Amino acid sequence: MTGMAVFRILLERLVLLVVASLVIFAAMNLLPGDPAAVMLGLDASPESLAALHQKLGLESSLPARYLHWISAFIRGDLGQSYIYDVPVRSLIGERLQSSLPLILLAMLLSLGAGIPLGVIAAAKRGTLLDTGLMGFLQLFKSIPDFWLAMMMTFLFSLTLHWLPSSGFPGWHAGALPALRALTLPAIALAIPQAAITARFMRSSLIETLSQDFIRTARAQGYSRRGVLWRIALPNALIPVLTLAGIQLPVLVTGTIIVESVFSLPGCGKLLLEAVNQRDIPVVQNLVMLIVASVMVLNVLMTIFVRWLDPRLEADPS
Amino acid sequence: MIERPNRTLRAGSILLGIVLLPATVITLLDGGHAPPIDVLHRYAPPSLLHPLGTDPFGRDLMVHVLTGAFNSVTIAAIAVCLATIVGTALGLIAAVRPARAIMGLTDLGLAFPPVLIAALLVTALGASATGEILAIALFGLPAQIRITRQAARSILIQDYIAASRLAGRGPVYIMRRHVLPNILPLLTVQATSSLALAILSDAGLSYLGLGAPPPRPDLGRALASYQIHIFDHPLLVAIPGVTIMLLVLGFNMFGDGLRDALDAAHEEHTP
Amino acid sequence: MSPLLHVRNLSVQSPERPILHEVSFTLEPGQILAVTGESGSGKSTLALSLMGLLPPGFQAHGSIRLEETELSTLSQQDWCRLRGKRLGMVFQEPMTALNPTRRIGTQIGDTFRLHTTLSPREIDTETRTLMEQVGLSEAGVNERAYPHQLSGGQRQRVLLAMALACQPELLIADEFTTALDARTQAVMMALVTRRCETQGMAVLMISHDLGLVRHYADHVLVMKDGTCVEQGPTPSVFDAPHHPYTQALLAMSLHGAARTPLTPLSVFTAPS
Repeated sequence: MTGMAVFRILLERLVLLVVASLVIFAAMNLLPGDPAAVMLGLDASPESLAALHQKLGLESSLPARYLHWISAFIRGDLGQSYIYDVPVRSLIGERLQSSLPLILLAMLLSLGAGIPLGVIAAAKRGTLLDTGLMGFLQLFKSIPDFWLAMMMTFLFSLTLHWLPSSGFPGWHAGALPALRALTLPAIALAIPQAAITARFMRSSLIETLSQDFIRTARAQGYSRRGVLWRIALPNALIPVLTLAGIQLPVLVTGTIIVESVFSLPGCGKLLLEAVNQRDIPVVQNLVMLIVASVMVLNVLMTIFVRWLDPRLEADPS
Repeated sequence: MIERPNRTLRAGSILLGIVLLPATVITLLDGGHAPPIDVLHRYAPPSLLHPLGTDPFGRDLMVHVLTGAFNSVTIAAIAVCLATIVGTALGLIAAVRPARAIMGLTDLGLAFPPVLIAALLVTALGASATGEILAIALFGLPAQIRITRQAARSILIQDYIAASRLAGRGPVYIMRRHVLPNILPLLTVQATSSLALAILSDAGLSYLGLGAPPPRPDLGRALASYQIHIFDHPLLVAIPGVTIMLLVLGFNMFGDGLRDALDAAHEEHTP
Repeated sequence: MSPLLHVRNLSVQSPERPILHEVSFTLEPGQILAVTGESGSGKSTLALSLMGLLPPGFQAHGSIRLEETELSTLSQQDWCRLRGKRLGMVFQEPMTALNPTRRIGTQIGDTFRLHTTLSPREIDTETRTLMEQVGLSEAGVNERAYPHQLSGGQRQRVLLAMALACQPELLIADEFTTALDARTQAVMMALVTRRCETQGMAVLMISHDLGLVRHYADHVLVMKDGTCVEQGPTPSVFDAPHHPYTQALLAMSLHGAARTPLTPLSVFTAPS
């Protein structure tokens, strides 16, 4: 992985980020209707409309408004919520306390369960265990995560009383209650992802095991088990990690939905409230922040995968 | 094209048939409207008149869920058609030209999950079926472009394409006569799998209130309104969820089976 | 002298059809035995059964003895101790036979790691010595290079280094110089023959290149449809072939290819 290659990836993603910000800005400001009227509703008085125009800076030209927004965004100023009349930044900061751990936990669980399951299925391919496992995973791939979440609250919270069914006590109440509140949401979020990961892991490993260099390693004295774990697995993991990067936005969607099911006060909940109340500054900045975070994570994943796979350096496609 | 329907394909068709056949019949009979509200018969247990009972508004649960399933599949199918047509066209262009802009678009799409597109559209325009379809289609577009481009490229490097080009055929003719027919099976498989994903997206969006607005019934919206009754009337939550699962599983298996069948047919022709 | 390798009535059955039928031969230390015949005659299957690496579903019968060890009844664990240590193998496809994500130094060092108790530092030293011996250092190839950064000939040298690391008693070479140009081919064969002379390593060389066979092999075994049709010392097989198939094979390769000028047709049917 040369510095030049890293630089090129970063530059590409930066351009994409600018395009993304333009798309978000355009959606909020160019679509039919006056943003102020959208926010105030149909029966707003002309005076309050004018006041809001002033407040949102709608008098200035579009390019000026875009530049003003994006430069503030880069400085970390995410604007003022229209509904709550507090800085969007403090709103988001508060909500990240549950959203960020939730998404990280879900990712960890999905890789932590998906990879071993895929390896087991590949190692035992063609057996009853493999067929059964794959059928089971196909089923879980097809379950809507929010419905799974509901069924899990029914079983684990309402019937068995093991874990809380909704709400988030916050980290100040101690790590254990907070983690307990996040457990069910994270599992609900992780199960469909783990199913996708496991199926992909299996096919990637089987594909790798059929390569010539596996035979070379066997001729060198590697045992069947050794070749699976030490030679085939590292190679087969590369596309799986790439997939994990691609699946990130899906995980974001899932987080927003699952937060809604468990009434977690996270970013997803904030976004939905803002959409319902037409709180444009919150929607615009929050969507931009989510897109930017997904892209940054994706870049990190891309660089990591390229570092793992030296061939990609020579062939960037 | 498919001489030997395999077990996966058959199982997928059966799952789809279980939901889609009655859903279509009921929608055709009722015109796709929600069943009438009947406050006197709320939460009725399953009976001959209401095979799955009634919901908190006294509506027949089975009719409501089946109509909802029909609507969900319709929205998903329109979105997938849109993504397939636009994505195939862009993918074919990207296969023959160095189209940085198109490939950039696919990278951009990877960072915009449907829920964010829908959030933007609903904030600006309010909830609508069009907006939801657009959000799902836009999300499916990048994968469609990539797959088409890759498949088209593998055809374009074949010798007979070079021969056709030497014979003076233009790119449009080559695409229509040689490339499209060859990648059509792959596109069909892809569309089927996309349908499964689109149904999941539709369910999620309408659960969040970002999908098509009432009055037409929808599975995601039904789940959202039944959720608080999960302890007293678990069937209300179980039935719509199982219906979504059957549809998604059905399309997934149908797609997998279709791919296996096409692979098998392909192997038979090339010994 | 007692033979190093003694193969008696070796038959191999794939799930669909028989592949080898009652093949017997012996190989003595320091000797090179060439196995030749057209593709599909079972040469590669023979090599894989000597390594205990037949694909799943294949069944082998008969006896393979390496000195005092009977290989046909060996446990998986014992096979792993043998492969790479007493038996080395190099394959034909230099492009795909190396792991693309491991540095070549690591891949060569793996043989030491699997079979010796050397310290990491000693393994590094041994690896570097080996790379010098096979001429990689001379070509400026670093042990930290990845396979995709090397030429086909250099990759083949890496494979040879991996196979030779623990000084095996028997090297099995499956068409391993076929993909190389004539000069590199000669250099690689020189490396192998030096090991035969200095350390008494025996070589089972699979090749359809009869020029190569005649030049390097002490003994020749000709195969057709899974059976051995003729075997003996190289000069006698080449000068006085008994079996009509051997005669035809020799006529085609030595006289046909060398003496017939290229016609437009033969350009299209040239060996691919």
